[in-house]
Amino acid sequence: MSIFLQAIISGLAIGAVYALVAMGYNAIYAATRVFNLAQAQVVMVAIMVTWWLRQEQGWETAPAILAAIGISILVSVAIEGICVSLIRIPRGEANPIDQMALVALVTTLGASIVIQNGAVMLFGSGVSPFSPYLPARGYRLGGATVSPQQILMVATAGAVALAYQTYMRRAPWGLRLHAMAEDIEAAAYRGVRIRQGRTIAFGIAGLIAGIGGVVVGPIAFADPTVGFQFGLSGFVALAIGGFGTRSGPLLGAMLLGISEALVAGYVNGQYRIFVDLGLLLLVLLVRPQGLASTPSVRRM
Amino acid sequence: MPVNARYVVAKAFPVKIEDMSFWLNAGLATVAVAILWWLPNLGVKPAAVNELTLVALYAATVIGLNTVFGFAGQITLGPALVFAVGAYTTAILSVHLRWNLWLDVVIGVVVAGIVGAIIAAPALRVGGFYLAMVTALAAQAIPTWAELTPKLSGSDVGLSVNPFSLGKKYFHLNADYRLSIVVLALCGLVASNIARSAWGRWFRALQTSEAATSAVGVSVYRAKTVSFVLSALIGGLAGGVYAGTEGVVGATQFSFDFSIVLFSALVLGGVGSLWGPVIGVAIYVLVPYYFLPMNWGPQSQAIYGGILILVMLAVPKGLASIPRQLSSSLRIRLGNGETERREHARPLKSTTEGAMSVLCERARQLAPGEVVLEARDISHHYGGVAALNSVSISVKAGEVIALIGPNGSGKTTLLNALSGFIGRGRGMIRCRGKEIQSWTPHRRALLGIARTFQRPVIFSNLGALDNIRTGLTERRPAVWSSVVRSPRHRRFEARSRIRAQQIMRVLGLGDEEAASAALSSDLATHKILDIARALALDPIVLMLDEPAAGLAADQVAVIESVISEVRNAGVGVLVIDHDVGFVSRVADTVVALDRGRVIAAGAPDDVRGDPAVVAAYFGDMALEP
Repeated sequence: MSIFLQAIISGLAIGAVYALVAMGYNAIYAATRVFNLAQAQVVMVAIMVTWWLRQEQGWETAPAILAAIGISILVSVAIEGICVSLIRIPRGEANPIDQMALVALVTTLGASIVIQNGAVMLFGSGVSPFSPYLPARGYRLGGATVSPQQILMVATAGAVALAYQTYMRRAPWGLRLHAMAEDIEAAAYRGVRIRQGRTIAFGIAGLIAGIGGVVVGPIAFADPTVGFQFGLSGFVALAIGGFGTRSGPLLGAMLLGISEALVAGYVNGQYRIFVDLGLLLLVLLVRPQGLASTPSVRRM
Repeated sequence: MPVNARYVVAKAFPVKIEDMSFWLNAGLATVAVAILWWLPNLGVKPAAVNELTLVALYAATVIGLNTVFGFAGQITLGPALVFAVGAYTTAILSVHLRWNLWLDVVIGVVVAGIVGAIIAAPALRVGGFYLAMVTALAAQAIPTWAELTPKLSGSDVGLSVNPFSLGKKYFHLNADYRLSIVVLALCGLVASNIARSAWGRWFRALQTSEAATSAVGVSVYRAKTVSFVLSALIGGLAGGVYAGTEGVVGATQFSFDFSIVLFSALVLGGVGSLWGPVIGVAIYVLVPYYFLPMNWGPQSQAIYGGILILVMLAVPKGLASIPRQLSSSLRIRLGNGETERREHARPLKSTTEGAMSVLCERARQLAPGEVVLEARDISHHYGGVAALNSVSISVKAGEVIALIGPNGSGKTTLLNALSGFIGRGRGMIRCRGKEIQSWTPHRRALLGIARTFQRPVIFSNLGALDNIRTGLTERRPAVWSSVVRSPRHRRFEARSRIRAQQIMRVLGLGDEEAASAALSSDLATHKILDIARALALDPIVLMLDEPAAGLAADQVAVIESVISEVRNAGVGVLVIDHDVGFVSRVADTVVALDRGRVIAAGAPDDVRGDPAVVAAYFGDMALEP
């Protein structure tokens, strides 16, 4: 029983990380149909900058975190500026939005390669321990241990999800992004500046990634190559939950995290990638539009 | 016909442009293969020959990637996956079971194809980049699997494979190299044969519009799967041969970086072009050893990433598309203004009377007035809104039924429901005795239910003739049939070409249209092309969505004559339009919709005067004196 409970707890905690990555993907995809393959690298940037400022440069925690988040936002906006807004699709092509998303997939892939290798060049390829923010002593809960770090992660994911929802529903640009997500052409006709909206979407994704990186630092290491793993898991989480849905990222991420933790607890932690693959294939077979979405028009 | 440079060239060299580029490419390829074959004898160093062997096998894999990404437009990030599967299968069979290496390679190809199909099948159902991520995940699984099964896979150290042999003689360096060249040439030939076949046209159609591809009777899902399995087979072959020529197969050789290199090479060379894979991989060879895949550090990787971004921004369609873009802008210049004239609406030639019957063979077998398509109580909801509410309609052979109604009344939704483009609603649809309400669009198209789109969807990467050819359904060849150029394939190519030309003549599209890219034409030509493609299906029902919209009066007259010719040939025609005059002239029966319901049905004049119809269009104010 305690294995099960421990698995649930660590599953929720790692699910929180996946949720933050997935929410970042979703923030951009919903409004622009672009899938930003470099999203997870922005998370890595936040981790590395926080580590470097706090541990290598001796900064206090609070300014280091703020700086890391700020830099993440900047990097994300730069990705948009270079890799997305410069794409020109010749006029008269069918499906210009889809074509742009396709090209953006490759350019953001390029960006993710550049960012990851840039980090390796700046910080070396070694892996360093990340000093935690909170004491490691955990609380007992029915045979399992919950650490303050884990509570922090889950709480942060929940808070970010709530804040994002509120923003999308209340703030002027949130509503405009919502409009873009529903029907980008109609939004343009109604005066929404698509270009600006895209930049804002990327900025929000950068913010979410920055927070995610800062919060996950203590349980991950300061490792420049960590981006790819998070990216893949974040994608699987979003695919399970449903692209462009409200609760998809959180739902899918928790499910994925718990499944991975259960397999790690009862069988072997190394099978993680098979859990990801298996769950993804299962969802694609059974409910391809995602668990959190309503059945929509069948696409051929 | 204006006498200009293009006219002169066309008369001097009576070979068609398509064929000319084929012979050019074939010639280039033969020369290239000959040079490559004799390279070792020309004093190239053994170390370089070894590298070239690898490069040839990578290029072959990238040709496979090109088939699925370049032709069919499906992004996959796991060419390393099928390569690794081919390599590992070959190595395991050879090392653990000691079977003949050649046999092992063949089995490796088959296993790679099966693995490819299994991984891709669920992802292809939804399309988009799900496939990319699934393949990326699966490619990552290979090194993990290798670590988990060290006895089977040799883990990091790897498996040592014996070299290839013919009879008693083992292959040495040069023989391995020549084998890889043979593999490359073979894969190139396969890709080229597919590109110049119906399957190549369908793959390219898939890139432009999945809906329109369904509408010409091609199962989108099946086409995607076929393209993916083809690429898996090619990748598996390259991987299997790699096992034999490299001699060692280990987990570290198939990291995700490998996938990135292959993908970048394709992007650099030109996605979708025949030479793209070879150009891309060759460029990587010309750069000093520091950049070769096996030993590259973060600087070179970062540069790769940068190159990817720059190339995609500068040439979204890849380097190999540069000649094409240059030649088409040259062609415009040589045309001496002919293209400019084309931008204005040009009068369409009207159809030859009676010629349409020749084209509509299936329709000839129908009895006049026979109900060919019947729909009962069709209902469909979008969210909470009832787009269609218990609508019933019948299309009869040899008659034109028009669907009118204000915007939002459900006309296009009904057409979509009849042609299968909307998911499950409620109601029954019957076509010549078969209940088809749960059939997919492509099945209905094959049955003879053809449609056009409100905004004509033209396959922009195919010429006008090829656009029409995609619709031909009689005795379509299978993929393998096209690869080996079987008689069935050849017969289909000839027949489809003749048929498409016939259709073009009947509809008044001249020969100039055949050569030019379909994209440069104007709206009227596009609309006729859309109809031509629908006619290629040899339909018994033809459904036109606003065929006259946006056309000048003389062009509308042409559309009218096309419709009446099609009607006289025995086809049942359904037309949606707003132009009341057009509808009155063309239709035998009119059905009026308002807010998802049928409010009137009958002869055109009766429906025109029906108060409910007038109220729907103009509101109650119209009834006041």
